[in-house]
Amino acid sequence: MKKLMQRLSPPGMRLTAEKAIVAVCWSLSTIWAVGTFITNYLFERNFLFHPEGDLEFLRGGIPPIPSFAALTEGASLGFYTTALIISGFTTFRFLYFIQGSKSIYLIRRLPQRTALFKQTAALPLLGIAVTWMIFLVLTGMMIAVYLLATPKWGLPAEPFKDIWEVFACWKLIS
Amino acid sequence: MLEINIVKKSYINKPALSDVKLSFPRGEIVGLFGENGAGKTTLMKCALGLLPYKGNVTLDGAPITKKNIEKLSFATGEHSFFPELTGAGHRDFYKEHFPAFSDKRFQGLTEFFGLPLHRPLRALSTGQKNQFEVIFALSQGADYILMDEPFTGNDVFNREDFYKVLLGILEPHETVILSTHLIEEVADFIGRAVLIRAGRIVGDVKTTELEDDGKKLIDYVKETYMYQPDRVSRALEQITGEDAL
Repeated sequence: MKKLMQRLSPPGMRLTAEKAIVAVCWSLSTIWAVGTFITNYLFERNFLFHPEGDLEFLRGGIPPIPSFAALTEGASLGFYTTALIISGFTTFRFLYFIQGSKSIYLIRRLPQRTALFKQTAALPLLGIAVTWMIFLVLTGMMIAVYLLATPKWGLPAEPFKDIWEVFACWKLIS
Repeated sequence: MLEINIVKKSYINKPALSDVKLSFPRGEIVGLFGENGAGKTTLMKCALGLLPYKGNVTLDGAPITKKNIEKLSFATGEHSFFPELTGAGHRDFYKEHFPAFSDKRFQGLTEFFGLPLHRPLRALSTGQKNQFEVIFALSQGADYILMDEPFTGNDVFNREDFYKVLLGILEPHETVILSTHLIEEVADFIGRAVLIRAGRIVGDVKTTELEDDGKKLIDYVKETYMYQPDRVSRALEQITGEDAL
């Protein structure tokens, strides 16, 4: 993995800062996404029950909890931010070739046509892909919680209505 | 044969090169001379495809593309190495990307100059950086080695040594095009001198022709550039108001 990362980076470039930034971004994005879902979900789920002492009893005659997409509204915000930050690395990587020396001349002289792309954009693109894979895995886990922790009668008729809105964060921004 | 036919190259409407026609057969050491801003660097960068221009540059009849670019190498005073990478790291990088890279030449030259292989190049002196820059260009396995002011920051002894080493290691098929202001210093090492002024080729002569005419290279350059020997005394007169001579 380390070798692959080095092969997809400007020669000699230290990846410590990039790795740290990405790790922090992924962690915060995960906390934000899970936190958003858990907060919304628990809030809605609580309406299904009424507590009596240490026990919880199902409440009757109340509407089901909202769809999964409604409970995860804005959860993807951190991942969009992370993707944006990672795409910015492409610029920093390009600047590496013109700072301190003009190694851009060497890169452009290489017989390999894709060398410049490989060393500036490939790893950020891979990072963005991994970012969204993490979000998809998290979404899968949240769906599992949504389905397994909610009583069947408490689920809406179409629990995955407008599921693509899981990726929407503009409502939160606006 | 490297053939350069640049009809025009300009920087934001300012002409940098005009009607440059040059051909370099294999096995030559060529000095490229001209004052600052004459177009030496631009000419080299155009030949390498690093700058856009109108015209064409061919190598053995074929345009310079990714297929034959490895036949050209470049050493520049601006430096084209990776500052954070060590000499050994560069050796590995060149070996990976240029199959004709000569490890033997690289090792021989780095040992000759006593260059450290395991320190990032940014941590080296300007002279050492220049030496590495030239060594990479010479070891790449190129047929045409373009050098643009490669010895800036090197002392005269180092430069002298380098010229001698250069003559000793070059294979008959290798051509060096050396852009420098150190005309007198390289006079004994080059076989041809190309003079450029305001983006145009104003002189192109073999040093043997100069020898036959009993002319020194520096005199040929001054003559071609219409150098005015009395310009210093005239300037001093103007500045001091006194007769300088």
